[in-house]
Amino acid sequence: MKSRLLTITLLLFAAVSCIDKDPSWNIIWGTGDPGETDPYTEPKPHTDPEPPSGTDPKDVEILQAFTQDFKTADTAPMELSVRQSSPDFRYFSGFPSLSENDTDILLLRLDPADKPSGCPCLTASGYTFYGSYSIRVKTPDLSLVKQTTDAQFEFSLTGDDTEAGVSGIGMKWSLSNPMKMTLTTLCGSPASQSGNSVAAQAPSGCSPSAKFLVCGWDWAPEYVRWWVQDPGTKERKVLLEITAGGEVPELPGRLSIRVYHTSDAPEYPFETEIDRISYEPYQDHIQAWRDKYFGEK
Amino acid sequence: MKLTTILAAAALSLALPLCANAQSRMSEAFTENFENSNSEFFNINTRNFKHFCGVPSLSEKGTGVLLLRIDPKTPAGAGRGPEISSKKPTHFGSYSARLRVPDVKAVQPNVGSVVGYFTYREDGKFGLSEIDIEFLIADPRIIYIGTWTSTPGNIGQLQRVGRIINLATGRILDTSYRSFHDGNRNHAFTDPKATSPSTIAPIEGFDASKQFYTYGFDWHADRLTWWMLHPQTNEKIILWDYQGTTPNFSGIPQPPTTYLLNFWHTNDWSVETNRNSLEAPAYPYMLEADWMSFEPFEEESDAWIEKNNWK
Repeated sequence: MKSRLLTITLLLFAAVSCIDKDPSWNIIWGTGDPGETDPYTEPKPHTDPEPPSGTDPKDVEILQAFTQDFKTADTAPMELSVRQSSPDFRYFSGFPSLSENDTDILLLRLDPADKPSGCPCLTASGYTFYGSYSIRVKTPDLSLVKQTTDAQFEFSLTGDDTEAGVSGIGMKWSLSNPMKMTLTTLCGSPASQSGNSVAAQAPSGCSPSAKFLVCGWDWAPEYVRWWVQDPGTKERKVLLEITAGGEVPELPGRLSIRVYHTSDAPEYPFETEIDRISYEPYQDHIQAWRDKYFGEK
Repeated sequence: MKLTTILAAAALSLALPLCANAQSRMSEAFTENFENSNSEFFNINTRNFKHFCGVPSLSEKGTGVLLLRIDPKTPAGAGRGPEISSKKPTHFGSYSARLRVPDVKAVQPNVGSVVGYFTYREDGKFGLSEIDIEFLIADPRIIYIGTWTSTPGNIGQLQRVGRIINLATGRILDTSYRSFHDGNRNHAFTDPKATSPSTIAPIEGFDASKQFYTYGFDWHADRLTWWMLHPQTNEKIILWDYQGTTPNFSGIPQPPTTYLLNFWHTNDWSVETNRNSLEAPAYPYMLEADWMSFEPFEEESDAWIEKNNWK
C-alpha cells in the first residue's frame, strides 16, 4: 500500500509541478471552437501512448474539461486506431448524421473482416479522473436483421498502472439487444483486482438504436453513478449507483470508445453515430485527492 | 418586299422562339460529381435521411459521393425508395455513371432491392420513354438492361425489350421482348440486329457491390447501345447494341425523358439466380454514386423536337 501511495504521489507531484511552470501544459483539449479543419481529411492515426509506468512522471497527462463534437476531422483528444496496413473505411468524422438533420457526427462503420482484436476504437490521448462523463450516441438498428452478432458498443475508462493499480468504469450495449446494458467497474492493486459487472435494463424509450441517447457516469471518491437521459423528457435517469467500499475506482484512466465483437462478427458494416463526447472534471475532488497524498508525503 | 417573303419571315419569327424555347428547356451536357451538399443538375432531397450528397465514399479514398440510403420501412414499389431526378429533360445522348451497389449478400442474401440507373418520362402524346440499367442487389453479378415504351397516347400499353447478363461469367441469360399486343408473352428476337453482340467476354470477379464500375448507354433515334468500362483496361465493353425491331414496336424510346437514379424494394421481382430474393431490406443499406454524366446528341435531338413539335 505504501508503494502504491508513493507512486501516486510521485505522479501527482510531477503533474502539479508542471502546471506550476506552464499552466497550459496539461490542457490537452478545451471546449472552444475546433477550427476550420476540412471535415473529410484523413483521420489521424492513433499512436498508443506509453501506459503510466508509475515511476516516470512525464508519462502522465491529465486532461482538463473537453467536449468533442466531431464537426471536423480533428477528433482530439480522442485518437482513432486507424489501420495502417490497408485503407480504413471505419471512421468518418464530420459526417452528416444519418438520422438527425443539421448534426455532424463521427460515423463508425464496422468492418466484417475485422478480427475481434481489430475493432474500431478511439482512445483519449491523456488521462481523466473524477468527474462527469457523457456521450451522445446512436447505435445501429438491427431489429430487422436476422443475422445475430455479439458486437458491443462500449464507452469506458481504463487505467492500468503496473505499480499503482487498476481503474476502470464503463458502460456497454449489445448491438443486437440495445436495451440490455452492462455497467462495469474495476479497481484494486495489480495483485488484487476487483471487478464488477452489473446487467441493467435501459429505461423504456431509452434505446440508443432508436434515436440519439445521451448517457454517461458521474465519478467521485464516494460513488460512481451511471445514468441515461430520457430523449423525450430530458430527465436524467440513474441506472446504477455504487458507493465507497472498495468498489469505487481511485486512479485516473484513459477514456475509450469501441465497437467490438468476440465471436459472431457482423456481416455488414453497421453504422454507429457519435454526436459528441464530453468530460467535466470534479476539480475539488481531484485536488482533495492530490492534497491527501501530498499531505501524506 | 413580296407578301410571301413577309409571311415567311413572320412564320419563322414565330417558329424560332417556340423551337428555342423547347431547346432551352432541355438539359445541356453535364457531369455531376456529387462533390457538394446539393446538386446543380439533379433534384435531391437531402433532409429525409435517404440522400447524402458530397460525403466521402465509404469504400474509396478521396472520392466524394452521393449516398442513397434505403429505408426498411418504405413499402415495395418502383420509385418509393430514395431517388434523384434531373432538373431538366434529357433526350438522345450519351449517359454514364460510376456506381457501387451495397454488398448485402452475407447479411441478407434474400433481399429484394433494385438499384435503378435509368431514364423515365410519361409523355401524354408520345408515350413512355424509359431506358434502364438495373441491379437486383441479391446477386450483383447480374445486370438488367432494356427499355420500356408504350404506344403514343396510351401509357398503359407497355412494350419491353431487355437483356440479362451475368457479367462475371459473360453469360447472356436472356434477350427478349414482350408487349401488350399478345398479353406480354416473352419472345426471343428473330432480328439479328436485336441480339448483338451474341457473346460477351466475362469480367473476372465482377461484382457490382465490391467496387465502383462505370456503366452507360448511347441513345440514338434508331440505335441504343449499353456499355460499361472494363475495370482494369478501361476498354468499352458493349453489352447490347440494339438496332432491331419487333413485329409491333421498335423498342427504342423517342420522346425526351428524365434522367434518374434510385434504390427501391421489390417484392415481386427476384434475381435470376435466387427466387427467394423478395425480402424487404432489413437495414438501411447504402448505394454509392461517384458521378453521373450526360452528353446530348444535339442534332438528333433538335431534329426530333422540331419534327414532332415537342413542347
